[in-house]
Amino acid sequence: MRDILPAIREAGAELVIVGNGTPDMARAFRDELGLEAPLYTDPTRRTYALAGFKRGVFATFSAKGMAHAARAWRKGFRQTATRGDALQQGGLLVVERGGRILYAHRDSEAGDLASNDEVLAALREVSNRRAR
Amino acid sequence: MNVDLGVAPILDLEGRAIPLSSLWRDRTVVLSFVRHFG
Repeated sequence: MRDILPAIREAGAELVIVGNGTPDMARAFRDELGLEAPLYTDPTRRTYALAGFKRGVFATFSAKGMAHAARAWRKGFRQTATRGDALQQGGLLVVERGGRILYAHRDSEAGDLASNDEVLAALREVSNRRAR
Repeated sequence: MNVDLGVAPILDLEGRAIPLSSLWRDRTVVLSFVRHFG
């Protein structure tokens, strides 16, 4: 998602990250990654549930999930101690100013992430409507 | 998508609660919900 941060800003939008640990964990995460995007957290995970994101053993430990984890490991990503709920899957929403949902992706297992192209397409829809 | 999503609170880095909808009040937002922080 960081790759398309310039394109997101160019479209007049902002990338915001939401996690599910404590605010302390969120601050540590921001400092470790040098995150530039605004960061929030929902320790209750209510927003995750309302957005329909998955949670559970099968989502986390599926064969595809394990394959994604292995690939990430080979690329050098190392998971430190889990700060948050280990079984919670994430997702991505593109929400237009005012609340209309332009795009939603619910990760079906660990490693299954939203596509940058689809996010950009959703943002272009906003720009195109503004231009008309 | 549940209609209560916008009113559900999230915490900023100082632990202050705001409704999720405040994130899209002024501009379009790409909201990435991560699995966990690390």
